[in-house]
Amino acid sequence: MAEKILLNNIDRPGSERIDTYLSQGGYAALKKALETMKPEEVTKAVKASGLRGRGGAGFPTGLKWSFVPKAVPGPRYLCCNADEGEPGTFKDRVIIEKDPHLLLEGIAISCYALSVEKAYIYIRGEFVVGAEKLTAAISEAESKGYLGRNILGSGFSLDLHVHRGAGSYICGEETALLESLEGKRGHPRLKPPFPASVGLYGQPTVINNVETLANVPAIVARGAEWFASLGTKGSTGTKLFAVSGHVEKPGVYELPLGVSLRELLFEHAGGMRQGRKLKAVMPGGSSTPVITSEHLDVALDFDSLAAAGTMLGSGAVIVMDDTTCMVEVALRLTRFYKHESCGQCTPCREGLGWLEQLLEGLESGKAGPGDIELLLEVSSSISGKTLCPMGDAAVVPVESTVSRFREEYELHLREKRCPLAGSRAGVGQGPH
Amino acid sequence: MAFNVRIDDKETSVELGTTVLQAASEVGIYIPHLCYHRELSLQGSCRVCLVEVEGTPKLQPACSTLVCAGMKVKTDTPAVREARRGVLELMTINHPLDCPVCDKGGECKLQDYVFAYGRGKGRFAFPKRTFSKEDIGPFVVRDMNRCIHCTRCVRFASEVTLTHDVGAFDRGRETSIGTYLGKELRNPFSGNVTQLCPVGALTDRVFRFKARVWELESIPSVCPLCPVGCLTELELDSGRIVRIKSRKGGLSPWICDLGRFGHVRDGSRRRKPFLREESREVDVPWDVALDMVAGRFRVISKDSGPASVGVLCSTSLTNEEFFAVNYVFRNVLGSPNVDFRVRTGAAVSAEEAEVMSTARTVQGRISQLAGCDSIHLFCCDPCEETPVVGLHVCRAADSGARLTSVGPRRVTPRPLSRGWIPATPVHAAMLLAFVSTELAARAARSENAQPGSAAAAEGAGQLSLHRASQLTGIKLEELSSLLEELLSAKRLGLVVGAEVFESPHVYLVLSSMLRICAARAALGAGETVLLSLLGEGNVRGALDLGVFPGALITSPGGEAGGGDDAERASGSDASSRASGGESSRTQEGTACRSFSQMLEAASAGKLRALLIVGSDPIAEYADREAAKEALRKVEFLVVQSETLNATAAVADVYLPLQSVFEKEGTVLSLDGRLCGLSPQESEYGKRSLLFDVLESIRRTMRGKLSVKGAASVFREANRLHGWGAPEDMKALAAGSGVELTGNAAEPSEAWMALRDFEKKMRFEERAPERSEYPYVLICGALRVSSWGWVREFSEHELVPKEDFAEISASDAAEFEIREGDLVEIESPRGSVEVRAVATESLMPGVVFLPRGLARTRLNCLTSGGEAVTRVRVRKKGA
Repeated sequence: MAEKILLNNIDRPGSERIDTYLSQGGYAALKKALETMKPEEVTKAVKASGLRGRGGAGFPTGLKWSFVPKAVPGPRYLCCNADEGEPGTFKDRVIIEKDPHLLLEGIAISCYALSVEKAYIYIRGEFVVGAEKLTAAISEAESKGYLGRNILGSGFSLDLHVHRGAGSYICGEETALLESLEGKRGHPRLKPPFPASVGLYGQPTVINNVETLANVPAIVARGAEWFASLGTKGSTGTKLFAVSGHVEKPGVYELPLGVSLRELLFEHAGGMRQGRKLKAVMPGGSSTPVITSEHLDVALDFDSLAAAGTMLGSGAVIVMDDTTCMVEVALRLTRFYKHESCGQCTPCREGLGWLEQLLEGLESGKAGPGDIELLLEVSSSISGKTLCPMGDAAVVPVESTVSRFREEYELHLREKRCPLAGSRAGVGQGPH
Repeated sequence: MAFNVRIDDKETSVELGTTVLQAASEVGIYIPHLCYHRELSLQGSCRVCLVEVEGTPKLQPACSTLVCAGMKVKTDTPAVREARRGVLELMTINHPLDCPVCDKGGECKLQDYVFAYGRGKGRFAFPKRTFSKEDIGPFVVRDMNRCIHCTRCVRFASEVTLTHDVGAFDRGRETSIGTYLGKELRNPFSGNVTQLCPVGALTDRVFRFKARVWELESIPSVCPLCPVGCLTELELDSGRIVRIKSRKGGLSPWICDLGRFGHVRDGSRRRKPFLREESREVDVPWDVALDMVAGRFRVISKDSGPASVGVLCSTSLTNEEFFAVNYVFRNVLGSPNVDFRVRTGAAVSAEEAEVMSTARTVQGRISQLAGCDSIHLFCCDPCEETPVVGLHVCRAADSGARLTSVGPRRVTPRPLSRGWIPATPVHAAMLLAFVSTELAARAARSENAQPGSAAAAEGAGQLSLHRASQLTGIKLEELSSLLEELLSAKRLGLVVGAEVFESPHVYLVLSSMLRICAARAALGAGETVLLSLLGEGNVRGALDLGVFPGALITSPGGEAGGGDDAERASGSDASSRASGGESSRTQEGTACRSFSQMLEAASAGKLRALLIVGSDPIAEYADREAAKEALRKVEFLVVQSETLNATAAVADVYLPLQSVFEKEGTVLSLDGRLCGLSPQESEYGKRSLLFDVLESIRRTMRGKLSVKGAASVFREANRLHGWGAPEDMKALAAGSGVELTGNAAEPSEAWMALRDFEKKMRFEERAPERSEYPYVLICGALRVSSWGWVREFSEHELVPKEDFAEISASDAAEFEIREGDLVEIESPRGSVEVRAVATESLMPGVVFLPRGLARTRLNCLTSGGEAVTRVRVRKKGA
């Protein structure tokens, strides 16, 4: 099996405890950075490693760090985005609950690189256990001198806090996260200005995903070159794939970027449930366009998936077999997005409800002619017109299922019912 | 730094920081917008203003996209049109499409945009989302079903009023706009949201369904209700005001609720004159009443001398009316009895008159407050007293100004009450005197002090901060930090509450304020903006035109019999006097009687005829019994008022008077801006009924200058006072007013010296903890009590169901007084019964009674002469 960066420790007993972490060479990278590297050397290493953000957008991490202005008076902040809420995504949770010190070390090194002395972990409200484990890990690390004042005698201090969200998907959007952290309604901000210059409390702020930050200790410990040798040229390192849906062995798999979808599903995830036929895959969470069995050999990396008309996203691979009704998939996801819309801007607030009503009509056989076109037109009134990226994400299930499964939609319209309504009997629940 | 951008086919040069929307508007290209408002922060959420920016894949919101060099914007492409169509369609899927029955119809931006840019046909075939009804108060009606979630109202409450009382609740498509904890919207500016709301979600309860907006006539005017002088637009239906809106070009884009809704009358006013004959009211024709008044004033002044007649005005008069009152009474009749200060009407010494006059010449501009880095609020709550001044303080606070305040009540809204030092008005005045003396002493000790300023340091020893702390019980550290704040501010705002103005400490407070200005100037501390809130209505007009004793008077003068002509300005060429120095003179306090002195004269039978205009001394004069007694002894009491008030009920002759919204004329703002009023139509026409009275006296007495109407009196006053205003009052009303004087007076060393009356002043020690009357009675104007007269609002919380008095929460707890308990407030002079309200916003040891309560006679408790009224509070039934 290929080399692991992120999931090395998770199977050890007491993996979340600092002693276990230290026994595996934990916090050595922090020590190395503090003792032998200047902050800008750390940033340089992260840049050279080719690490790209693991939250969904895939933005180069080192480049993001370099946007933080040097000469702004007052504090600067780092926020770790642990608001893992994208349907199908459960990869950060493994790190948080099983190896919290890996994340803490990554945060500490990153803060050192960015000269940040106050950092927050914004964790999804439902991750109660995760929040407890992180809080415990922080106090362990503080008592051993890996966090807090004057870390390892280096003069560098870091005050790290865990902040629990209150149950809103949109707070995973970085600017809504900042608003929520400041104690306000979780509404995305207008961009520009970007958080790197005007972020938390109006100060320069870097926001990175859990998995992104957890890669940093390995980059520092083993070098950017080694990291860049993993994966593909444009997508270096390994990736956590959260496989869910109709496979025999759903779970989180760490594999080098560029692994094929076929290998992930059939060698690691145990193949399709009961040997049924693969119908559709969302390769990067619910906001990535569906692909079908013809794409089984696509390489799971940023560029290859983009070429196939979809996205790597968060690496949440949602697998659907031939019992799945694609209209219902669109309906359920639209219902989710409608429920999670913050209500700030018109297209998302008003449009998603309408999409839901149209999809309900199609699924229940009450739709009329022209409703599929209307569905697409309403989607295009939302897509690209909203204040934050959620509007674009929210219409992806609708647009991509209509585009790849138009006939199935037409069939719903013609038969005035869901043609797959009976086929699920005896094969368990749907994709969610 | 300017650079070029191209919008559609137009090239323009704009400054850095300009948005696409602003740049487009500069070249005359209109981009539709709903959430954007130039006075509020950028929101960018309605998405109606999306435009194409070359090189950017997505459409960009014009309202919040900053232009950059060489940017090419297209506002009318197929993609832009399609996006607008889409957004407007989404906005209307859940919005009721019943414009004909919506009150916003005709001035609704959504209606206009859907008509101009919309799809034309609806495609949404599902039931519309609806919200439950919620009553949010007396002025604003909320219809959530029409809301488009632009959040202008939310931003207004959090950025402008700092009250944070409007917010968004729930999320997504269920998001609703409401008031926190379901309370009524009761900030002083709530009506502005009806003007801000682009759709019919927040409408004006007073105006709604009264008229269709396209049928209204709109005329420019100024708000006459407080001395801020907000520019307004009167919207008339058949000549009568149905709505008042703010007008561009003034101090603030916002007006307060009083200004917006204060035109509503409950119709109970008296329309016909009457005489009292053996305690019966006998209606008489207007002409007969006028002849009688003029005849009696003439006879009495001839028989008993000019000092036997007098006049008491109110601040609801225009400058022209004040001018005419002064002319007819002082010059034609030769009477020394002219005043407008009804509450105390205290005598004014020459020294006091000088302080008041100096304070007026250094009066700052309201607009200067926003630029202050520190503001001290002395015994005032600007948002309650002169709300738009409060907004300027809010703006300063929002941009980081430090605030300090001294007074018995906490300043509203909460963000303005940082640095509150609780103190009774007397203690506050003492504290200010001590602090200012200390500052003056420092200035005198400083290196660049003039040799003569040593005198300023005199008394600093006995008036030390330490002594102030002993006397007032305020901690020394608090006093020192206040002093440091007053000294360290680069631009200091000093705001003096209106209540101070008719208190016995007005001279002490004003001279201390002047001393602070002078000491700061001597110490090179920076600019000081002194702003006295003065009072209500056209109080600045009353002061500047001199309808009180001790005023500098500029009048045509010199023609009346009875007086000592040598003492008056002589000659009849008014214009030459306006330019020369001899037009101004001070009538010595001894020669003039204040209202309280008039009452004394009346009691002694020396004041035989009195005209009271717009004022109600029996309800307002500090000593109710004394006023009643004295007015009973006035042989010929004429009351001219809008309603039949308590004083009118004992008048020998009653004459009707129009409201301030029904007469033309001019008013002066507290910072010296002359503005023109536009009247609505009334059954009396546009001329003031007061002019009829004055003119008939003038004619009977053969005075030279006719005072028939506002226009001619205005021309005379304009020339004589050198106002330099346009001759045409209509032109004045249409503009934004004329600034009469600059900041003429420079701080002078002389201000730093202690004045005789200050030296003589006895500083009262604190009352013993458990005296017989342990509480200090505080009075003040509150908006809530001002609405009592408007029956339309009475079903709402805004108008207290019953009269109330505030006591501090800690006093309430100690005496086991619970909210709503009936309490008896008793002073040595009398007692009243009211409901108690316990509040954290009042300092312990005082009882607060609002002015203008419906039934409670405040002046049963007080007397004219005393500086402090002490009371005790007893729970009824205990």
